[in-house]
Amino acid sequence: MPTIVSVDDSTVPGEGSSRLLLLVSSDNKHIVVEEDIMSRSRFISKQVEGFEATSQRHAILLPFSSFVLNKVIEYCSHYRGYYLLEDDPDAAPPGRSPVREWDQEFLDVDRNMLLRIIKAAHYLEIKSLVGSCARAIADMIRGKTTEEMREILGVENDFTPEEEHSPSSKCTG
Amino acid sequence: MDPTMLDGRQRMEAENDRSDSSGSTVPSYWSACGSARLAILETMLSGTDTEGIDGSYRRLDAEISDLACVLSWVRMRRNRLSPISHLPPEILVHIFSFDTTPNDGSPTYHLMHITHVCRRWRSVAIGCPSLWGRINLGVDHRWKKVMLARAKAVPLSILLERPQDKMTEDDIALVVQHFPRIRNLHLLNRMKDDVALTSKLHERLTTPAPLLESFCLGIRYANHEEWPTLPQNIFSGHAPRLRQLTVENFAYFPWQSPVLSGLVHLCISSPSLPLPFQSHPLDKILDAFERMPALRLVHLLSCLPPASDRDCTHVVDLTQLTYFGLIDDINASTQFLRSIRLHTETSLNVGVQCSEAHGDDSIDAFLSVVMAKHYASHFTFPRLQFLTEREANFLVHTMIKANSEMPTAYQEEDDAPFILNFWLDYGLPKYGNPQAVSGAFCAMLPNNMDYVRCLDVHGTDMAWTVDEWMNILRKAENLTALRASDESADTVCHALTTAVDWNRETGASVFMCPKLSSLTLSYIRLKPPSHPGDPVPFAFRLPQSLEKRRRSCLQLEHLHLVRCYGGTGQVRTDLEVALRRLVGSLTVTAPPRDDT
Repeated sequence: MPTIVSVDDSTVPGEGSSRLLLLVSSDNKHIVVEEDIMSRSRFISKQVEGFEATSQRHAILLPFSSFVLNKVIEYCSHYRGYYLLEDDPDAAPPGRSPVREWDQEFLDVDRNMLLRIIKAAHYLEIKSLVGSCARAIADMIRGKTTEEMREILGVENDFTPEEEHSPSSKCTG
Repeated sequence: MDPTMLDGRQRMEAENDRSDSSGSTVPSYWSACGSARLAILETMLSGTDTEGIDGSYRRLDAEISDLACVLSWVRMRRNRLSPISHLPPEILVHIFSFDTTPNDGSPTYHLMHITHVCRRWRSVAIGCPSLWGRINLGVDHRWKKVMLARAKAVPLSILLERPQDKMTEDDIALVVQHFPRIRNLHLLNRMKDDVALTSKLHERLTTPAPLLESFCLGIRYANHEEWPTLPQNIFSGHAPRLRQLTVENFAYFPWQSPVLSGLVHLCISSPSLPLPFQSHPLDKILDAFERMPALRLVHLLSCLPPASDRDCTHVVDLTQLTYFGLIDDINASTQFLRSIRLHTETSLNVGVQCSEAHGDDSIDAFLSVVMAKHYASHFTFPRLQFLTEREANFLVHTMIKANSEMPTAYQEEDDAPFILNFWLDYGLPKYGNPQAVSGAFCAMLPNNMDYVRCLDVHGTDMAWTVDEWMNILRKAENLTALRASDESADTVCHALTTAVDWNRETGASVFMCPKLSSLTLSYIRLKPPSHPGDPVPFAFRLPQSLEKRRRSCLQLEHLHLVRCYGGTGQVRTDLEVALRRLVGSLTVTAPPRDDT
């Protein structure tokens, strides 16, 4: 569950032509961002709807670092005002995310960062970013053997001998 | 001391002493806690006779298995620390839903690899039936059964798309058995199959298909006398979700079926039909189109009725189409085109089949109706290998005439669209004077390249030289897409490369093909690098840095290398990695196995 705390008015910039949100990262960095930018996040949108019911100002505490949060904001800023098919609830199912050149460059980061971004995108309910990250991770393991996949993603073979040699694993064509 | 007289702890220490020389020792804490177990184990090992030794083997094997389980548990705990393990299952499923099979035409076993990475991945993948509902019939039959079992009750996508895969009796049985729960059925098999085998499938096509969304069926049969037809009561008239329909090589299409009403995409082709297509009268076909208001993409190939003496009385509005393709007899095409209305934005792809029997009247009538629709964005000439010399000359004439007769306003449009498909294929030498036809096009093209947005050239024996290509490409100021295969692909590569080098050396600021954004090269041959670590030799060199690329003449966004021969999978992967940074989208595929 997200943590919402009341904040002093002075923490949030004053009202202007566009509404501003205060996002607080897990390393306690306060990041002010325009609501329009973050409207791609269904999670943030739902939070903002909740705010409107009260007159109190709020900050949204998020369970990831400012570094990751800034990357997500960069993504949302880039696609500000764009319609992305995957963000549509009726859009194509997973596995069909389109290849976007900008996304490929944006996600050209190390494995752990990529995993942090996808987790944050999932938390914030940004389907298009989840899709692009998932595609990037799938590309990392494309054409690799099982052993290579383990090495790339930092996992060990933890099967027992019986599990490893189960009958269904013998269909190699 | 005799080692058999030692207790467990002493034995372990003795083993430690002995293994010191190899540098591998058991940690003391483990030695301490393991000694008790070893002491018990020692008591279980007894006897020197055959039975006793066998028993000891079994006990030790069991012990090894138990220890493997302990190790498995330790590794599982370690995996929990891995960042990938912190992802929730739904994200893992999202990742697994991408087919991670390399693009080399091999069957899709990626889910099997996924389930062998670790226990969590296996658990998540097997626990998500929707992952298993996409079954490629090209894979091993046992694997199909596993996938079906894991898919549980989810709607299925059953695919047979690789040309080398042949449908088996088991495949037909699978399709027939699960037909009501199939969402996508794509059986585009180019191999010859026994009609008796597929007749069971045809029978099934008369039953309702409540979940079917896309249906693609194209099978080439050995026995021409038993050429199949689609049933008139296809799906018993009940396929409420059907949006995409593609059928190839059927002698009859049920235009009156109610299942067509929701279609968005319709493709019917019978290019190699040995028998006359049993088509409905034209007005019935036009009526059917009127009952398909959601249609956006239509492609009809050799399936129109012969032209009748009188034109249809009404014109069907197809302005909702984004693409309309028609390749058929010249008179039938002319009559059909007169009976439809297209939007100015519709891509029109027209090809004609004509022979000596068609007089100049037919040609003029066709030109007239096509010119009336010249505003459509694509205008494609048919494949030359089907043509006689006279027909080829007609096409050269057509192109020149089409350009000269274009209204001025149209010519001045920035995006004045024109597509030229030109096939210098192996079939050409059978007809007339292929050199003359090829030469005529080659000479004519440079003066007409202003209108060409997409150039599609395929050829082996008749490929143009690099110099000829240079002459054409120098005038290709509006060319945005270029597709070439075989030797033509090689010469195009050389011509484009020469252009880049030439510009660099001379410092000239005028470049060839300034608008070229999409390049597709088919059947090129890759070679492994001479020395490990060298870039993959590939005739077409893109400037290595993004900045240089921006300054160069080439603004490629899309590069497709289709059916690349030669080189190992690693060579292709290296090439892919190197090129992916340089272009917006990149596709590299291997040839089908039976082509190599």
